[in-house]
Amino acid sequence: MRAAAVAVALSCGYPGRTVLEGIDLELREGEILALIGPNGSGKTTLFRTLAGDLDPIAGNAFLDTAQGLKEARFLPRRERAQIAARVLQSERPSWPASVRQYIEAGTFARTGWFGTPGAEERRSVDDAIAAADLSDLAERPVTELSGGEFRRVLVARALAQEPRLLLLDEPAADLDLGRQMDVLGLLRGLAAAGKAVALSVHDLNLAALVADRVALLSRGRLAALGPPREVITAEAIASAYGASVLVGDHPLGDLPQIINTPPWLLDGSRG
Amino acid sequence: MSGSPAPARRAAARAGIGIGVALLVFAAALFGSLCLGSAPIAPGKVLAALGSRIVPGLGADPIAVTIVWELRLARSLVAAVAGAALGCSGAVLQGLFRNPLADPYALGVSSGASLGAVGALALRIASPVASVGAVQALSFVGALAAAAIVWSVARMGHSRAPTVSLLLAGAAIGSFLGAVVSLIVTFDQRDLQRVFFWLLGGFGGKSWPDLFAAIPGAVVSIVLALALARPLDIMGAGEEAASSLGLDVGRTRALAVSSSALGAAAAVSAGGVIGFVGLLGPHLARLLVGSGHRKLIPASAATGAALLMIADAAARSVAAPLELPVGIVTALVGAPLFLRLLIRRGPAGVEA
Repeated sequence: MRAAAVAVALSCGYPGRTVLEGIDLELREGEILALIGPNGSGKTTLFRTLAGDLDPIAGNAFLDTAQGLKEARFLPRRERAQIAARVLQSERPSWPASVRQYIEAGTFARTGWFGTPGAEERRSVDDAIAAADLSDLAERPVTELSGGEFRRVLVARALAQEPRLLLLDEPAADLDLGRQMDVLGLLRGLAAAGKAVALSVHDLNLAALVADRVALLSRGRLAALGPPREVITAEAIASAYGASVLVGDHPLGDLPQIINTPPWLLDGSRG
Repeated sequence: MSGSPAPARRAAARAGIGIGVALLVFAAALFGSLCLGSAPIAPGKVLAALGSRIVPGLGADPIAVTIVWELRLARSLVAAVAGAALGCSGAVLQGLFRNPLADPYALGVSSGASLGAVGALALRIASPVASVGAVQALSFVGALAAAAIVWSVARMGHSRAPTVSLLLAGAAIGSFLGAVVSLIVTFDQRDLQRVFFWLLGGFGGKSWPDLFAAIPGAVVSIVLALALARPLDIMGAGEEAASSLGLDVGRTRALAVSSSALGAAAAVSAGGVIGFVGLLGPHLARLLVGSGHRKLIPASAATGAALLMIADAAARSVAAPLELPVGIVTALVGAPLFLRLLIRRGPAGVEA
C-alpha cells in the first residue's frame, strides 16, 4: 500500500513546548488509522504537523506528491491542500451560506483567489455532496444544520478538495449513536475507495470498530502502533489513561471492545 | 456539465435580483437627494436641469440648474462615494472578523482622522494642494497612520490570535488618539465650532474638487475588496480551516485591513466621522443578496452609498434652513437599528 504521508523521527509542538517526540508513522492509502491517547497527548498537534500547517520541531513530515515525497512544510499551501484535507472539531460557520456554497470552499486549492469553480469543480462538489449523503440538504443554510449534519458537510468539503489523505479531529464526538455510525461508515467507504484516512477518537471501542491500525499516543511518544487487537490491551490502557478496563471481544468479529472496571466496582462498594 | 440543480440557480437568480434592487435603491436615493434640500425642487425640474448641461438647448430654470449642478449633485456624489467606501469597508472587516457587528472604525481609523483634522486646524496648516483642504488631506493621512500603528502593534509579541489583537489594539489606540484630540481642543478653542462640526460629520459646502479627492482612495479600497471576495468566503470557516483549505490567511488579513482602512480613511476625510453606515450597509446588503462576498461587497457599496445620500438629504431638509450634521442623523436612525440587529443575532453574530 502506498503511503500518502510519512513521519520520520518527527518531533512536534509549539515554541517552548514540545508535545510529541520521535514519531515514525505512515498513513497508507486504503487504510483507516485511529489516533488514540489521553487529552492533551498531541493528536491534533500531530495532524497539524502532518498536514504542514505547523512546522516540525525536529524530524520530517512528508506528503506524497506527484514528484514523490516532499516535506509538507515546504509545499505551497494550495498544493498541500490538494494532498491532505483536515476536518476540525471546533469549526463553526460564520454566515448562513448554503451547504453547497460551504462545500465549494473545498475547491479553493484548485481555483485560487480569482478563479470561479468551473464544470470540473462543480462535479467534485456534486460528488462530495452525494458521498456524504447531503443531497436533500444542499440548499439549506449551514447555520441551521444539526451537529451531525454539519460534521458531514465538513467531511464533504474535505472530499471536494480531492485529497489523498483525510485527517479528522474527533469526527464522532458529540454525535448520537446513529450519527456516529453514519460518519464512521462514510469513512470506511472512503478508505475502500482508496483514500488514506486518519482520525483522532476518544472512544476506544469506536476506534477498534473502524480502524485498520491504531496509534496510541502517550507521554509525548507513539506508545503503540498496530492492529486494534495488539494496541488496545488492558495494560496499555492502564498505562496511558490510568484507567482500569477489561478487554473483551466484539460478538461479531475479531475486534477488541473494552469494558470499564473503575475502583468502585472492583472493591464491591457498588454492584 | 453536471449542472447546478434548480434551487442553486434560483439562489443565484435571487442574488442577481438583489444586486438589481441595490442599484435601483442607489439611483432612487441619488435622484431623491437632488430634489430635497432647503429649497425642494420638483422631480421634473431636476430632470430638466440635469439634462440641460448634457443636451444643449434644453430649456431649464437657470436657478435650478445652478442648484442641481453646482450644489447638490457634487455634494450627493461625495456622500455616495463616502457611503460606498464605508459600506464596502464594513463588509470586508466583518468578513475578516467573521462578525456582522464589526465596524469600519474598529481599527482606530476615525480617531486618527480626527487627530489629523484637528491638528490641521490647530496648526493653521495651509493646503499644499489648493483645491483640497489641508483638513481633508491630513485626516486621510491620520486615518491611515492610525491603522498602520494598530496593525504593527497587533503583530508584536507572540499573539496566537492576531485578528483579536487587531480589535483590542484598535480600541486602545483609538481611545488614546481621541484623548489627544480632546487635549488639543481643550487648549486651543479658536476652532471649537469647526472641530465640533467636523467630528459629527457633514457634506455642507462639498463640491467637485472634494469628489475628485475622495474617489482614488475609495476606488482602490473597493477594487481590493472585490479581489478579496473569494478569500473572505473561505475565511468564514475560521482561520485554521481556511489555512488548511489552502488560503494564505496572513496575506488575506493584511489586504483586508488595507482595503478597509483605505475605504474608511477616504470616507472620513471626505465627510468627517459618520457612524453606522458601515454597519447597516452590509446588513441591508446581506438581506438583499445573501452572505457570499462576491455579491455582498458590491451590494454593500451600493447600499452604503444610498444610505448616506438619504441621510445627507434628510440632514439638510428636516430643519431647513438649519443643516444638521449628518453623523447625528445616521446615529439617531442607525443606533436603534443596530441594537435591533444585536438583540436578534446575539453578540456572536450568527442568527440565533
